[in-house]
Amino acid sequence: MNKQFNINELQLKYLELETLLDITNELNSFENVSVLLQEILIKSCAVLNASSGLILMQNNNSDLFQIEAEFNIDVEALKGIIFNKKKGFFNEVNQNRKPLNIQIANDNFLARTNCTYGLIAPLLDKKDLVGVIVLFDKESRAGISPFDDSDTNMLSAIASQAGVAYNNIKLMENIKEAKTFNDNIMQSIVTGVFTTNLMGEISHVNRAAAAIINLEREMVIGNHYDYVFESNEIINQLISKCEEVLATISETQIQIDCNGKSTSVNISVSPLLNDLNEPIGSVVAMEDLSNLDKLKSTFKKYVSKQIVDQLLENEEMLNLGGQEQEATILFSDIRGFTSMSETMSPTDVVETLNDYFNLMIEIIFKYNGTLDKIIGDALMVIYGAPNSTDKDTENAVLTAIEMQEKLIEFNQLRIINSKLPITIGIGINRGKVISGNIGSRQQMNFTVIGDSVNLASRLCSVAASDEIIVSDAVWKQVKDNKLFKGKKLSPVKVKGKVKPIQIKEILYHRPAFHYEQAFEKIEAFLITHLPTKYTYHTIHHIRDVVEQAEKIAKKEKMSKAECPKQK
Amino acid sequence: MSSFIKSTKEANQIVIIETDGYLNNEGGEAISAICYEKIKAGQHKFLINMAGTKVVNSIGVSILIEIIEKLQEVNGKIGYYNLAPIVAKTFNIMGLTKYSTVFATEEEAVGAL
Amino acid sequence: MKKPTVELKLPILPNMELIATQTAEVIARHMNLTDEQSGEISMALIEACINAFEHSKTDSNVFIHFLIEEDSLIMKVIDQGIGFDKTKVEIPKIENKMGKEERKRGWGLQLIQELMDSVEFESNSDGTTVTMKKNIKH
Repeated sequence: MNKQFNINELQLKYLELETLLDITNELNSFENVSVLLQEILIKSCAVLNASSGLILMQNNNSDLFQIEAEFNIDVEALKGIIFNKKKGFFNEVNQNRKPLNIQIANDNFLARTNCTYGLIAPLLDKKDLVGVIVLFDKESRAGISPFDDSDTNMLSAIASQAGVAYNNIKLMENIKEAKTFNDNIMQSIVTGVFTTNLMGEISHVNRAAAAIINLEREMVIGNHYDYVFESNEIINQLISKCEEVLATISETQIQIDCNGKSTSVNISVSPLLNDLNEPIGSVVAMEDLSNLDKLKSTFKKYVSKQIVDQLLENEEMLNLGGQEQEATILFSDIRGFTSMSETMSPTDVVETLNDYFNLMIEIIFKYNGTLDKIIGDALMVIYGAPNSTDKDTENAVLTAIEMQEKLIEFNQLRIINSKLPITIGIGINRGKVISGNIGSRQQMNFTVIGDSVNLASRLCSVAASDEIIVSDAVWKQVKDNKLFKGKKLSPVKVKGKVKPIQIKEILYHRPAFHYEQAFEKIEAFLITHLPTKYTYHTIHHIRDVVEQAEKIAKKEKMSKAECPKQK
Repeated sequence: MSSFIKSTKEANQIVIIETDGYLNNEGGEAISAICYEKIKAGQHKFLINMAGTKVVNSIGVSILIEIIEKLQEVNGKIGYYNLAPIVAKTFNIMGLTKYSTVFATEEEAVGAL
Repeated sequence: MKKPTVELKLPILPNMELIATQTAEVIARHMNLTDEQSGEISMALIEACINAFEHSKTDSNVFIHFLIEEDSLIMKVIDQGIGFDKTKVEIPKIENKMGKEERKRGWGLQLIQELMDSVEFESNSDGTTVTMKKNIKH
């Protein structure tokens, strides 16, 4: 059948198609979703002669649409209308993904718009409904009229184009967001990071890296790393090696001299890969080991957290270059460890030592000692460096006492597990030392050296199992402490010294609660397990018996002077 | 009729429900039962006189949200008046005031609906 | 002088939260709070109680402590229920609740936070304590 169109209709059709082309072109030039939607609505209303319209977009968390654009609608009337995509007309459009031509009855919520006729077209992002465009009341010379099929087709076409444009903009926004997020991360981190392309040109650099390089970021980007890092051959070497093996290469404590600034860094270089895992360059990370970090990394392992924090607050306290000062040094070692270890498997030896060190080091940090070094089974601890207090010597002696005491429990456990007990000897001395970060640039350690240190070591070797031997210098500082007594021992001869050294053994007062704790355990055990018929009076009578025995024993051991006065 | 509903009357094609007591789950259900019954009978304007309700909980109020949604299907409206300040505040926080209205007086409410 | 405390032990029965609100009203009068403040406190308390009832076993109790301080009222609602993870609770919006079955739930926390000046939650599988504070300006 031939369709007959008159000239006017053809002209109209042509106009409509031209408009559609216009819209299509415009749609692709919008950067912003809201502006896009508003323009689409206005254009659609114009082309189809709608008196008013709405664009509703989907909200991810809810079944309700949100009004994103409106044209010529009473906003007050709009307020309070719930546009639910699962209800009424919208549900139909949602299900069929096709436009719908509607007539609005009085009992329909859309009646609040005071419109009679409507045309709803879905906005699709690929196959998913992202929103709808609703046009109301087509205006013609005859007044308000419903929309017809060609209107429906036209709106469909516009909606389809709009869907594509919307999709593109959303993608752009997502990409921008992700990029901004990544950029922010890159800029914020403390480690200097830069990336190079396959030709060695620097493509990205963050603030921290720019600081190390000592150039503005804009000056760095685009330049070859050889140029930027000048004479630092190491960068070239690392990047080349990385490209060769396609794995991460790192080096620690490298000195970078760049554009007048010298920085000590740990560097690692990793291959930069694309989606297909093909190399497209390198990522270089530089960790700045400036003063603060050097301090932390130097000390972290050797001192308790309190000391590190103190030092960070008072940097003048620290003179890593070397200074002469007074300090108290403690040495401890395990008696007969070498022969003991010959009877143990290597795994057991390591396990024993580690358990022992874990226990001892906790005590050392408790009393603010600085762990200087571990030599085999021996420990060297400094009290008074890098920071000094007036409790240094007392802390050293208290450490020694607690080490001996904790060892008792430690050994009880070992015996239960059929292992040999450990005994240690401890020597403590106080005197002048030189303290500082000693070693090569690659391998530096904070330590103290001097005669006083050697003497402390000697005292340790003189100490028998369970003994704590201290020099006079130490005893002078702690003799007033009531917790322990000092017993004078015969002076020892020390290599290199003419006069023998006066020494004291620290006798520590073991608090009564040790056996008290044991008693409580036994009492609890008996209360649970001992049949009543075996108790005298009640089970609690055992406590009475023990207390009496204790009194008698104490009295027998006491001197006349110590006896409590008779009541 | 539940003890929560003090009275129900119809005037100017508006159903006015007067409440009495704690608007909890039961109270909410009582209101919605009347509303759905009346909607079936062709009514679509409702007013709740809450002078007798000093205490509400979020479950009771959320049933009002259900009623609002149901009314949409028939292009109906619901409003409330004589609300205690805390009740009005709760309605506000829960978003009811976006889709329904709190009126100061019965006259105002009847006039607006 | 030790700050006065009022302690309630509620069984989990219908409408028991009203006991708490009545107590709260008396305390509010004692502290000379405005009607508005009193209403807010009662409402927050109702919601906290309802939550507590919901995650507790029916034979356990919910405890409410009122701590009367000079410049504030602190209310603690303590239950011995299964606890909840606050990070998993979404801020409720009426639009998101429409059309869904769970529309009745999830409003409590939002209301409590809007009506009180500060709220703290401690919760684990042995129970939950919600601490709500209302500042009194003099």
